[in-house]
Amino acid sequence: MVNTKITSTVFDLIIIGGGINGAGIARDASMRGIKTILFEKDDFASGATGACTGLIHGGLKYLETDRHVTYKSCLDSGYIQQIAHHMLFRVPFIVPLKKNHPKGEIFLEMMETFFSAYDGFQKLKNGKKHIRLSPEETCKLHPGVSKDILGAVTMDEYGIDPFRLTILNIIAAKENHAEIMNHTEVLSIIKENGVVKGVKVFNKLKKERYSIYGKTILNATGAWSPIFAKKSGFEVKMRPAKGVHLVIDRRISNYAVGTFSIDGRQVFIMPHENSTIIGTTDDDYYGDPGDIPITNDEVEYLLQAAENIIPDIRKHKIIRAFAGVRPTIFGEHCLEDQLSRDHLIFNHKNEGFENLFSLIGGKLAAYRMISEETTDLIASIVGNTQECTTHLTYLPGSEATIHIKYLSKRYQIPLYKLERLYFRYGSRVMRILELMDHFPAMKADVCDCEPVTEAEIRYVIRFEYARTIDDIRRRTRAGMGGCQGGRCSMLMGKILKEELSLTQDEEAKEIAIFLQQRYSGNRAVLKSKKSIQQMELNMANHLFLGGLESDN
Amino acid sequence: MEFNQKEVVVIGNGIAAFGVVSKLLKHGVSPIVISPALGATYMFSGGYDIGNIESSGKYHPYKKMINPDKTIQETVQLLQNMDSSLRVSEKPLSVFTQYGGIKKTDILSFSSKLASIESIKEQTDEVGVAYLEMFRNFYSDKILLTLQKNEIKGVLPVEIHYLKRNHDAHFQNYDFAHLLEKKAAFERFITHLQKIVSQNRIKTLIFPPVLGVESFEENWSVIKKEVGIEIAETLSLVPSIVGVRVQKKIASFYKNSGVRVLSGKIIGYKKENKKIISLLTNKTEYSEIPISAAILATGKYIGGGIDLDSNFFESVFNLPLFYGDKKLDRGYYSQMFTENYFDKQPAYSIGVKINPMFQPIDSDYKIVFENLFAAGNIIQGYNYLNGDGGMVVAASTGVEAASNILNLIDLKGQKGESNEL
Repeated sequence: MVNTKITSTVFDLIIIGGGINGAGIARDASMRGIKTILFEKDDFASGATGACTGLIHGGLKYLETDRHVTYKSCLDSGYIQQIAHHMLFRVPFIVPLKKNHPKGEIFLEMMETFFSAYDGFQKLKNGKKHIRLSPEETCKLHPGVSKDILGAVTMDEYGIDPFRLTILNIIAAKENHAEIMNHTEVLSIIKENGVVKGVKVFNKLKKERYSIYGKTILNATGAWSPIFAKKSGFEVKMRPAKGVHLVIDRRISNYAVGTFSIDGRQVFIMPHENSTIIGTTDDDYYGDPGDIPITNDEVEYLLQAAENIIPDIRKHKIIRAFAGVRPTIFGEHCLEDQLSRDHLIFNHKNEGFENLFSLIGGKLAAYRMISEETTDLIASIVGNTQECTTHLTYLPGSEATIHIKYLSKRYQIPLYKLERLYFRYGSRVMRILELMDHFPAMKADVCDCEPVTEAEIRYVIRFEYARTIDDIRRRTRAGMGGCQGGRCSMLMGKILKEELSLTQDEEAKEIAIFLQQRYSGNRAVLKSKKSIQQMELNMANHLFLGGLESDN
Repeated sequence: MEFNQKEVVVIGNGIAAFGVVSKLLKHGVSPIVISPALGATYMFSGGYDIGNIESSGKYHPYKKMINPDKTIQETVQLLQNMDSSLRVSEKPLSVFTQYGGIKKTDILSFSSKLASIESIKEQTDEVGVAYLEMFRNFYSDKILLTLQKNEIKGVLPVEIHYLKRNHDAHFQNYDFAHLLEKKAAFERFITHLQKIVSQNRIKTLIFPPVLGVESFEENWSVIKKEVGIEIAETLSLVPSIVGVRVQKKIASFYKNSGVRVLSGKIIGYKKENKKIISLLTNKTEYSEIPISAAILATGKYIGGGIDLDSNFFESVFNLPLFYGDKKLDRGYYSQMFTENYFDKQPAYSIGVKINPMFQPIDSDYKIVFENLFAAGNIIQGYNYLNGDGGMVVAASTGVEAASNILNLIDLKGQKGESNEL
């Protein structure tokens, strides 16, 4: 079991927020020997990190405005590819141009020139150079693409599961003796004579309060920064922007396709694991980052953009919409889309909070570099002179490669299941296999949509801080498939109950919370017969036969 | 298959369609059934709910019936004719589901009746709850806990390790049920049960509803004879074997009564004034069926009766749909699902509005087609998730619609004769 008891009293660094930035800094700092503790009020990657597209792309779009962001992203993407090689997948992009584009043929030439400029960065992240495709070639690669095109240009990117990337950073930090606590909210900052001394925190699951002391505090709460800052008495200025994605229940192609929305923005339809993701929107957002409403207009905006290039996109079963809030740097007199994707570190010394810093902005692909930069700053304050080695050290699971075919025979587990497990857990898959060896019944699938085994679910509860069904979902993808938790949520509740010795009421409550969370994302896309049929089956299973009722 | 000039066509092959067909047959009319590939009856849990007429809402189809009690009585009889394993209880029973929940239901098979709290309470001998190895969708723990909460003593957990197959097998309801259809496997199962009974003195065993598909009744009595225990099957989850059993019984009922079943889809129709004169199917050999009357028993979403584009629409005749008094034009779409998963969703109460003749009507109460009737879940105003009653409501609306059709055909005949005179 994960030990959540606080063992040391004064820390060098207190990190607030367990998104990719917080997790990355925790890893970097703990590797340098800085005594670190991290608090996450919900679960790791439950905010903007988890709602991202899942690409460690270089940011072609920023080539025009933030050339250095593209460079940094590409460079860091290359590093991430090396340290997390087991969970990487290549996503070749096709960007076709429709015949009815106002600029026509010349725009295709412009696109190609632009992509040639990006080619220079490709070698940093193992990407192939662009090629120009004729309409026939495009349709051959992706038969769903409209025949009404002038041609297409390709680019090469890599994808990664943002949940797993964050968890691996957390695990690495823990293995380097950092303290990690999820479901623990920071209530207030303790300070003395204008210097921060520590934080008061509240563990939501155990319903316990602690005071933790530390020399420096890093606020990496992302979209929650302005709220947290206001509550504590300092200020973080940013321009939060909401991004919505749609999910289709299967891979409609192995190629991602770029298209233009009605207002001329780029929208991508890309394969991600077993699903296809359509995204994203970009709109100013001033509401609660924890409860982001998704409107019918946003769903239609994305569907229209996708329909533009894949005409029968609406015939697919769209299972979900998800949203996140980007903590983008403040900018005025510009559209959301034109905001800088760079990052900033604020020092709150002048506001009476010495040794308190806030990190905002950034991208998934550049998370490691941002972490390095931030940790350098912290290290200089706490007097640590160790070098950063995060780009040279493998993430947990990537340290060793294993012989999958041999293990498949040895543990009598089908190859497709083991390949999937290796892709998600790397060499740590051995722990899951040992569990299966002791209890062969745990080889059975829990999820019907993807082969998520019982052993895998028990592993993430025991070793990866999963405390709710939603936490399990983030780490294993159980409940993210076609039926959206219809079949597996009761089983996951049962396993969670066994592992954490919950009562029956607590189990029912966990299941109810999870189903409500799934439903909030399904509801926006209940626009086709297939999705309503699925919803009816789920409701019949849970409410009619399962005897579940709302916890209110 | 041959058609005459005045066919009665039932669109749909579920329990509502069964109500229509069996009532028509009783009066000497043999209809044509248009059967989809997969309907909602396949997902049936096993409990036929009558529902409560008094507490049901204003738009509930029972409120349209002239004598609902009589229709329900007749429907129950027709259902029992089709499926001899059904038992009717005076009061609704609290029956266990596969999830370990409890659901109140009125009519169910004799084996499911044993899995109700009421009949377990009556048991003087010990009752066992099966723990099936490798079978994930049976929540024995919860059943055991509920029995303990109800202060029922003498309940034993019974572990069944019969399923020693490949360990990563994905064991679902249909795997088990089809396994028990095989003679050798069933014999092994019996030997295993005998071993268990020799160790525990149980007389009833609570079990998931997977005791075979077609040979379930036979299997049940063999187990009773050879092992000496009664298997109490809970209500079913999807994929439901109970639903498959019912659907197969309906099919054999149709076969024995000479009802013509056409697997396919209605893709259009021809009309004259306000009357449908023929239906067009997607089968080339039977592309046009001349009709005297048609009954729409296509169900709601799972059955395929209601489809969506930017709004809900009825999929065969594009009939107007209603939620209460509101006609579902553009813009109502987003209000049909509330924010809370655990609410009673309006989407499941929408459907066609009917007059007391069970003919679909528009908002001005005018009949859409003179010879079109509706039955089952396509009718607005009842939601089985809401406790408004499920299968019995569907079947009884079918019976009621059929008796109205009989009236219509008779009237037409009489009029025709009088004209000739």
